[in-house]
Amino acid sequence: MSQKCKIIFSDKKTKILEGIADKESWFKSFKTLFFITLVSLFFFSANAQDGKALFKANCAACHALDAELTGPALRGVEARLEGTVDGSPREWLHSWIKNNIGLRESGDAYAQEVFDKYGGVPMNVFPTLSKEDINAIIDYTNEEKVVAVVSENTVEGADANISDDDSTLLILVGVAILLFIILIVLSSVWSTISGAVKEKYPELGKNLPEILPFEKRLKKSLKSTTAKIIFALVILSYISVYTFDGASKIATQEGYMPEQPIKFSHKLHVTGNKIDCKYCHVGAEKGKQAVIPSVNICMNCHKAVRVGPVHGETEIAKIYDAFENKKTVKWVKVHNLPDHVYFNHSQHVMVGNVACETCHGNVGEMEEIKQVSTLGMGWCVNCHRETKVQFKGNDFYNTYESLHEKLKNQELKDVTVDMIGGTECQKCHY
Amino acid sequence: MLKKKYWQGLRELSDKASVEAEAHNEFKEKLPVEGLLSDDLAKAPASRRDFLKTLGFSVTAATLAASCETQIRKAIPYVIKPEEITPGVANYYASTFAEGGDYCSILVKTREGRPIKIEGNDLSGLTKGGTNAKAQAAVLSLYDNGRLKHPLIKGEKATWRKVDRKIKGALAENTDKKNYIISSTILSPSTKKAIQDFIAKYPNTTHVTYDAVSCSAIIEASDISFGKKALPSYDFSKANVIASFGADFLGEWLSPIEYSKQYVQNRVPTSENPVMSRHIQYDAGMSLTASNADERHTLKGSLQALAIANLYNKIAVLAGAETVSGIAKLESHDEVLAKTASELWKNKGASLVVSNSNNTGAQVFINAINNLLENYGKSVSMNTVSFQKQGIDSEVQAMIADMSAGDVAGLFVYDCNPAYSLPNATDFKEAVSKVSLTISMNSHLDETTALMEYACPNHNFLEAWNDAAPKAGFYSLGQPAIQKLFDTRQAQESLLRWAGIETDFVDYIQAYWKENLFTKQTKYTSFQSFWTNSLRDGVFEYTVDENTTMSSLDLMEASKTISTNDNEGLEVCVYEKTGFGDGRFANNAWLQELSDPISKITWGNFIAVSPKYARETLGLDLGDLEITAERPVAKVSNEKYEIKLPVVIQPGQSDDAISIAVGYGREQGAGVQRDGLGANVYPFTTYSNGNVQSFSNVKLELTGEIEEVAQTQMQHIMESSRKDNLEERMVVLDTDLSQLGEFVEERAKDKEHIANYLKGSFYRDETGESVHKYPGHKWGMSIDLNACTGCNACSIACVAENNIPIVGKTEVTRSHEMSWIRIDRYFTGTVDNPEVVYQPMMCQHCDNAPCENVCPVNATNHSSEGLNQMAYNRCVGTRYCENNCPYKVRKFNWYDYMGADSFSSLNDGPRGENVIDRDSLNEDVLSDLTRMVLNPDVTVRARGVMEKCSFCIQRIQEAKLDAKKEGEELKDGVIKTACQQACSTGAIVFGDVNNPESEVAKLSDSERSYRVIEEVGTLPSIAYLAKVRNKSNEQEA
Repeated sequence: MSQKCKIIFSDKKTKILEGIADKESWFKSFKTLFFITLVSLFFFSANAQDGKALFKANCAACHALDAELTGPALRGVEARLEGTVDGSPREWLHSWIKNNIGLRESGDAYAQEVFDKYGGVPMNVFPTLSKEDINAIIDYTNEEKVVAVVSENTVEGADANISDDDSTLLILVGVAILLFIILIVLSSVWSTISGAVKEKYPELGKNLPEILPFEKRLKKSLKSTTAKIIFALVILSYISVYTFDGASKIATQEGYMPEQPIKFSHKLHVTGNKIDCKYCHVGAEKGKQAVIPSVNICMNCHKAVRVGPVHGETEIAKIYDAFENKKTVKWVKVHNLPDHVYFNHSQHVMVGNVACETCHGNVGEMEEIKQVSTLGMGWCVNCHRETKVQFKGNDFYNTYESLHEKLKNQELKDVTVDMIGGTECQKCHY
Repeated sequence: MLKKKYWQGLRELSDKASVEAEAHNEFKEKLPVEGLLSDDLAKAPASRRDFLKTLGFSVTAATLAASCETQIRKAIPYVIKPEEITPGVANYYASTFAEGGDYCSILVKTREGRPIKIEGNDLSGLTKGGTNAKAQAAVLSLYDNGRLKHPLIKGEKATWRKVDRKIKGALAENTDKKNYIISSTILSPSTKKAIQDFIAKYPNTTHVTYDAVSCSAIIEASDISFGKKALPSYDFSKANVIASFGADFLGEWLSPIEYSKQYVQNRVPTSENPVMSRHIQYDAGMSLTASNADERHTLKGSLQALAIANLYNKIAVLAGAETVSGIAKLESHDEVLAKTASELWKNKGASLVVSNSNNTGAQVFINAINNLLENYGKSVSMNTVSFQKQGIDSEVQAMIADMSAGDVAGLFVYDCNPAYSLPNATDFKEAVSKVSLTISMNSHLDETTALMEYACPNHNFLEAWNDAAPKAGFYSLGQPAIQKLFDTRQAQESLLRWAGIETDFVDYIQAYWKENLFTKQTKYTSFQSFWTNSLRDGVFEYTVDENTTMSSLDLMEASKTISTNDNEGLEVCVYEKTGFGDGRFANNAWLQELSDPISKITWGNFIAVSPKYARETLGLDLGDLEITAERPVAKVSNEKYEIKLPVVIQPGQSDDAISIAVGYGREQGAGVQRDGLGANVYPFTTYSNGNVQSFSNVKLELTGEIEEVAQTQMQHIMESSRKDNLEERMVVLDTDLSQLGEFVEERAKDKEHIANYLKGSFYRDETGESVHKYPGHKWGMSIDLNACTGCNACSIACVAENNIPIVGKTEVTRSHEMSWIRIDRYFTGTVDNPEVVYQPMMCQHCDNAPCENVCPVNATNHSSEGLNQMAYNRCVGTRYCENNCPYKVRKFNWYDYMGADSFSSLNDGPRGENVIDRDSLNEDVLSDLTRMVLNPDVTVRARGVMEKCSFCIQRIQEAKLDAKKEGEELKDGVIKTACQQACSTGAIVFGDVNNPESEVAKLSDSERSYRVIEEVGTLPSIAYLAKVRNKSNEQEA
């Protein structure tokens, strides 16, 4: 993309020069200048973003920003090289990226050092990358680390939703405008015809009703109390619906997918290796929390499995580091409930036989874990209204004699959670 | 039938109208609106501008808070998860609470490795699952910011290595002078062995036991009569007549948890079997035990010994035994003593006489009386002796003499505070300066530790291994429930290190148990399984097969110590406040804020004077002293010492004695600021007849000053009990044993009447069936007023279980106290010697709840299991519910007492001051350390919401879930609310009233049952069982 930008840039540049030379087309060149300013603004602001794309395309196979893969971690590499290499680090990086082998052979000490440090495996050369490209990549590596990023997908998803809503709205507005135009046209046709009739056949015109021109009629009806009330009601209901809708979404994090300290892939473990959820999430059957597995659970398998298919040793090495050096792994919590909510996994998993996927979505297809449900109260209550209680075979429910009676008499088909008090406040709030 | 008059405060007797008016006003404090309404807006405390500012701020804050991105929360798992821990699931560890002589076998509930609650251990044969307020509150002391966090040398932070090197060096240098170890009562046999080992290494060392409130006389009397230096073991359940002279055996005396259980066992009469014990109390002040007595007489401390001797002579006459000559007749009590003597004699072999007298002669007489009454081997025994107090006062005094003489080189203080609690603390302080090596192993920088060169802080008991033998044959183990929080070291290990023994104390305990206890049983063949099982159970018990016989009874010798002259003048009686003890829990905010059962006063001590004394001698008007918090201040003095405290009129107080509680007036910054809270009255105790006496003559004069006391007595009172024409409204019911039959008949009629009355109402159909259906469970509770002694264990248990905020003295004064369960104390009878009924009062979970109907946002509503639910996050704080609650059990979060929100300005009081800072509560309730005690299953409520008893919904839900997971029916008795669990007498029973077989269903329908203001039609879920007294009309006849 940046290459394209560049082409446009040079193209326009020529045009500017031409434009300035031709004094007669001054206005045209002003327009061009304006356009160019816009484009270059976009270009510069988009630099780091392009750097990311370039980084992903060219470097990510061997480098990560924060982790050592085949090559070193690259975040802040420019600052790191300050004082280590001769001359400015950026220049050194340019020559290293374009042709690291050449640089090493030229006798650069640091280039040799890096080569030795990473097992004597030479880095690919990138003679095709332009100066701007390399700058973009370096700018990208200079970006500060963001701990948890709401993923692009979420943003896009949200956008798509909004545009969906917009299109409906657009159609409605369009129809309204169309109707409005038809109304105006009809009304003016009527007044023209009636005016003409009155003029030509005054006798006939007497029988015609007096019709005000459309603008006057509109003015009159807009001034009427009914119109004002209707208008107020419409505005009020719109505000209420909007507020309620917005308020119920406060602090819900549907689609939340933060970056995790270890690039753990649920897809790989669940779909690929067919590991049961509860093997790692040991609390799901026992208590409130499903529990993020402790490192020793990871080690059950990873004692043997040292290399992963995607990230090689790097990510698994983090588990080893945590296990051997007794370091904690600080996962970012994805599914958060407010403090005043009591939720117990074992109730749902053991008693309700609710599958993990019901709330957590198809985790087996997720590389990074993502919140798929709103976890809002409306969502909880809805499920409690629809879910059937596992009445049979659990003696606990014997106490609900009247319900058993109704089931027997076929007055009831099923007992849902709300029938035994599942939507009452103190089932979850205490 | 019930034309009896009940009153909670004195003013009700004199000026009913004003109390009635007060009762109507739930929110005592004036809302700061007058300012707004007044003409002079500029001077108003809250002006229109302030209002707009607040409005603007809250709108902006709410918008900001709502629009902020949700904070990133981390989930940090264990690196290596301990096998027994599942996050979110509580673990229970059996342990032992043993502080001074207080003993309780406990279970410690831990969540994610931190103790959050203490419960009674049902397996203990001694405490039988019971607890008291102190045991319940002990978990907060673990998270006390005032604890010493590392060793000190001369007040400077030091390392254990350095401390050990220096102390060992000093000990080695000293070869000729004496060393003393002074400790409070040590129940742990292994600790005693550690001390023996220390003494073996340094043979010039003596161990002295010192109890701030001592029972030396009983021990010495046992030594004289039986040749055993220990306390007898009592069984109150085997006594039909109990006579107690000053012994507060239900409150603080020796082993109250054990005694309460026994006492109540013999006090459950039915109309078919109207039998219960009779309890006669002779007491100077209105102690908890005195308030429970069937017959009570005031008797000041200095006359107690004489009264006991008189009683002996009267029984001796009845028994035909030889009387002791030279005993003056106690004219004032002659008649009642004669009656007591005859009652005791009639119940020979099934009676019990106890006394808290610290006069050895008097205790020898007590032994003689029990011997004459043939109680030994029945209600009192010297075969299984008790060790719950071991201090000998004379030994302490001898130690101080040695120290003053300069004969002492080393002083080791362990778990006692003589510089604060000795009658001659000043002598002790002086003597300390003559000792070269002074070491304190106390956990706080208290009055004594501050004098010492070395402070070697001990672990909290929840961090340490320990064992205990409160009674012969009863052993229990203590195990750590948490890693040590600070750089402290167990005192026993310190002693072992200094003695050059490097063993861990747990190995040391194991060695002791292997040697001494493993052999006492046959169940387990290997020591390992014996140890593991004992540790799991927390206790190990075996029957002691001994037969101790009385060796000698020299009553002539004993009578010499009995003073026959009645001291004219005013006497001060120094006592331990129920649930507070000797002062060691001064830093415990839960216990500080606990309302004293009788006076209902929190945060500080006071001078209790009798109504007659107040009226006639001090010229105070009784009624005026009740409603406001202000009390006149008086100076109490003797020739050496004086204090100033507020005067509180206490019905039932002896006219010639005043009572003041010990444990207050702590000087040294024991970590948390408690300066100025009450006054120390230990200096009023005297050392005479070889023991410390808890009374002495004093002068009292009003100073003209006024001080506020934080008294909850007249806060949250129920208005309906006070309507003139409705005196018979059923708030508290009590009757006499002789009238129990009639009472039960009347109750049956009442119940029928009310049932008829409710028929066809909103909540009962024409047949009397409930309109509201409770398809599954219907939770209910029954509370036996006859079993409730008012000890307050339930109140603290509720605070611990439900994260109830502590609000501080000033806030309590403003009626902002937050407890969900309160013990209402009702007086009946005369002001001078009233009878008392205790009534635990909490949310009644009415089926027709007045609070539910008035909530504009439906934040409080009814569940299908009969619970009155409170949804905090829905509450907007209108407080209509509290206004409409006839039981006054709802509490409002006037401030952010628990730090639930992040804006500290939420705690700015009406005068701009921060309500938490004002009472220096930050360290107590808001620090990260103390917040570790919070129960993670219960929401921490924010400012502006109502709260109230939830019937421990979290426990109900947990038990239901466990049953569901097992696929079993929920068994009766599985769910225990926190208050029920804590109760040592089993007064509270909780369960499913839909299940006719459940205990609670049976009790709720039993003959003594009634519901509070039942006739109003609120249909409460709590049934109370009326109190029955045994006032012995028959015996008189």
